[in-house]
Amino acid sequence: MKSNKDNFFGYIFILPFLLLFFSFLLYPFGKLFYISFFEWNIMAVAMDPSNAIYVGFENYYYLLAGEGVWFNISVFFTPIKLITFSVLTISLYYFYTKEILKNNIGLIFFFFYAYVAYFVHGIQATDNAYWEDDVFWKSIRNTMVMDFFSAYAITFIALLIAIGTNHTGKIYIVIRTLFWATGGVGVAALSIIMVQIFNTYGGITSNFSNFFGFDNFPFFINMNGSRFVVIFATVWWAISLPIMLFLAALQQIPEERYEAAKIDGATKSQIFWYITLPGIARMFLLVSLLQIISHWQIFGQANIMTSGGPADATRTVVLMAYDYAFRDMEMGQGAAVSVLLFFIIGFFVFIQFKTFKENE
Amino acid sequence: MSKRFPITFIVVLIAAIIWSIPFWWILSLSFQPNDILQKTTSNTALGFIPYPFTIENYYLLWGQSFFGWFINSAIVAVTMTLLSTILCSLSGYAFARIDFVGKKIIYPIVLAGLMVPGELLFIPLFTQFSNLGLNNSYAGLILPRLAVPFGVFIMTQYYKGVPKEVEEAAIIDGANRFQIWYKIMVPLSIPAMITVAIVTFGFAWNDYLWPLISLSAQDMRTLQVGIALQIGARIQEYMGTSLAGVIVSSIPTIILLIYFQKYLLRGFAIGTK
Repeated sequence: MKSNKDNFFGYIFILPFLLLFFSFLLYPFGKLFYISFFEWNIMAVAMDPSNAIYVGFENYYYLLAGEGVWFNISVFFTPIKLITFSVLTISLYYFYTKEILKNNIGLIFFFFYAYVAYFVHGIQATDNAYWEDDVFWKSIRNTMVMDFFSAYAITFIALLIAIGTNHTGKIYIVIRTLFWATGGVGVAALSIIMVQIFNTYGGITSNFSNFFGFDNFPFFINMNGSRFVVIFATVWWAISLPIMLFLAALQQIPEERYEAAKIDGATKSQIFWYITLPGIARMFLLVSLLQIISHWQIFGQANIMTSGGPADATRTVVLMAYDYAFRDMEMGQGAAVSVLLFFIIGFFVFIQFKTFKENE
Repeated sequence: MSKRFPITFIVVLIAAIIWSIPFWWILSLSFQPNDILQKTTSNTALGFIPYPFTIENYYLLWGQSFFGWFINSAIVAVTMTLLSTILCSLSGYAFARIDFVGKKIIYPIVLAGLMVPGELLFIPLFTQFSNLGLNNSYAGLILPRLAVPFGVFIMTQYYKGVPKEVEEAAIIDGANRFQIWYKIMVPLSIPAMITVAIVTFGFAWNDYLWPLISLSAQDMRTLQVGIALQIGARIQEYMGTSLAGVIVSSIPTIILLIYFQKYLLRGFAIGTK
């Protein structure tokens, strides 16, 4: 029975939320698409709204169009790439034969994303390639690689920490706190800390290497070095929530399963692969997807620590959108970048919703 | 106690200490004088022992614009937390318990809002708030962050788990929905509300991209923006003071994270069920 009173109170209760929800979430979301079809100079439009010029798909064309891109197989024949590929494939084969992959959708997704991120490296421009915007592609690739490493470093390290500290006792609470307190640091504070840590002169890394008689490693000049700093900062910072989620999941695995396995004489690693890991498979997938989604939007660390440099090595997609909109004053172009990023993230969000609907 | 207890324990303990090295180092540097840090950051024991020791850095902070940033952040974060928690609780109760026309359409739309990454909306929000004339104001910082589908989802799930008998008695007594929410449901849902409040506060305190865009006036800056723009620029000269600022800015959220970890865990257990 839906009574008038229920209708009245129901709408009174949700009205404030709905108003804010529509005006500051759904409306801007629609307007994001709208702006992306315009040449929308921030100054000109501020003076007179009619200065926004409809350009159709031109903003998208500018980002995506070009010629001379192809799949360059030769980049995969460096030692590091070959080792990476072998390790991935051997472990995939090992997991497959040991039936560890079975029912563990989290691990399956890990291998899927790892291969995608690996083969994205092969998309290269030829010598006579012509691009309207050659940085956009780079930023997609950078973000994807940094996203992959951050997300799965966080997932695996958090899992290790959660298993290691999943004991009762006051001292373990203190240890856990040491691990996850870093999550309370704000992104600007984090960036300042990390710049100090990895500073070529006077950073903690250079102090240590000088102490042991090595040369300083110039993290912020080296392309992979600065990517490493951004990934390290992200992992150090974002790990607290995954640790908590894994701890909660670990504590829900029934104790009887462990006892039964021990009676059957299972080794420690067997217990891990066949009881612990399947027991938290769903949480594993959830944590990795949450991290993947959130680090595709990585902005603050890259903006404050490296400003996207050196040579666009840490230029992320959100940083591109921000630079287009507020440095070049082209809101339309920035909005187009955001829309494309929305579709990339949408893919992962879709998987997340799908797997969790099925589970219910 | 089993025999292999110390091995796991020691490995985990060492890992925890290594993990928090950046924090200890920054903490130690923040207690050293600026003029020493200009020359070297590895004064005593690679900088891990704050000698020569001074607390001047922390004392100096409060005379500077840092104090203003702290106040701005506190105002924004506290207001946002209070309003957002109340809003989420109200609408969560309505979605969970009140049968009103159109609920079956509205609730899925709200859940679909979970799929929109909020960080991506900064461009349309900026044009919207310029038109409203709300950039550079507290309202401009708070309003776009109030409608959190995640909070509504958590609260709805929580209220669905509350036994129906609890409110039936009150309905027979003639209490209206608002009284039921205020007198029965709010006290019952304090743990879930604390979860929503902590998440909102942490998010508000550490929000960076939106304040960076929305604020152009220097005196309106929040902590994160101030630290990024001002402290980052003059850190070589005043390293001790800057790092003291970094430490102070992180204290509120770290304390909340540690103190309320139980509530956070419980909340996310609801959210990921």
